[in-house]
Amino acid sequence: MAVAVLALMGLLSSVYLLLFKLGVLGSLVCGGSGACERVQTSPYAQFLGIPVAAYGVGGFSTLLVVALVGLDERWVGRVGPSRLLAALSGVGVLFAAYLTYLEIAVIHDVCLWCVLCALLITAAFALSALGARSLRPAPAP
Amino acid sequence: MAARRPLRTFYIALGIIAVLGVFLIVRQANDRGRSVTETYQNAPVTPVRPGALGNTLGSDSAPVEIVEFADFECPACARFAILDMPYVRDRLISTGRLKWRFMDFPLQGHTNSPPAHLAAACAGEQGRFFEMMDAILNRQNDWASERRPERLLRGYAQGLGLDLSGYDSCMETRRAQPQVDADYAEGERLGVNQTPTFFVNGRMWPDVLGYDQIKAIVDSLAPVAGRPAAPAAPARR
Repeated sequence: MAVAVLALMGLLSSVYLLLFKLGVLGSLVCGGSGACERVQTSPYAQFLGIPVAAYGVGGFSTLLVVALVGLDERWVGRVGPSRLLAALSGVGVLFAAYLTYLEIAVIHDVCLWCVLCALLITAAFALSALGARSLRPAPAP
Repeated sequence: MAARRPLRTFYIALGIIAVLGVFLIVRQANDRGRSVTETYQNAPVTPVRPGALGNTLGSDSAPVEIVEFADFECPACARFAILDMPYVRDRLISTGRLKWRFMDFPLQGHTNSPPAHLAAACAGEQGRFFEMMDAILNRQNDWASERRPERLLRGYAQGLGLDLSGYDSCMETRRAQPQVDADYAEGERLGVNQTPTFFVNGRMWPDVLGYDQIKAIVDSLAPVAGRPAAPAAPARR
């Protein structure tokens, strides 16, 4: 459940950033610093020609779907969904770490919305990993 | 059955979060559009004198013209040029919906602004005003703190591939200075006292514009065919 909430919050944040990138929203609420815009308009806001925010939308959407499916009776108590969530969010954590590195070391500006997304994906990974660990079948005696 | 109830409550809570998030995003977009229309209607009309003043981008037949008075040493002007102008050019000017007129307004007290504006005007002699302006504003932190910024400015001209002999003679003879002075005089006549100052179809805008506001203005004054128009603004008074 908690992972679904985190994924939904991440999805909304990513949609917000993507709408800015697409020009639907011209500015971001970012504490008046302009750092979010500077990060989002930098060349690093694209990865393989696609806006980074679009990866966020795709990733958090997938996490949300998997988390919701995992709540179905058929999957409750089974380790599969938690492992899948941990794997997916693990990739997300690595990507978020790369982006955070770019913000701090290359762009020299920190976008609060990007930090929020990074924290959400890290929390989702931690919870999924703990869930997978707690559901792991007991070793044979 | 008892296990389904908390799950249903959870789904409802999740739905509330989703609706709240979407509502906040939509409200931000709509609020800006509405306030822009109201601001436009209330802005005083002080038409910029027609003529060959300033440097322009976009089609003469564009339904909306924005005139910007800017100072190259002004941080807000650089911020606008770096953050907003690329979107304005790509999405509004290049699509024929907006014409842009840039007017030099080097503020008193900004000691490095005059040579920077002259350098851009000299680049303008070679048809490269806006490229030079971008180079100058993108590197504002570098040249603005120099005791003699001319060397750096010449480097930007060189980087753009300008004819340096023409650029140098323009800078030495100051033959492009009258253009800068004419823009400045027009700004004074219109009551410009800070930068950037914008005029939208002759109406002085009371605040700094961003891309979202400019897009809302253009959408309001010149809606794209097939899309519903925002509340119509009155014609010039």
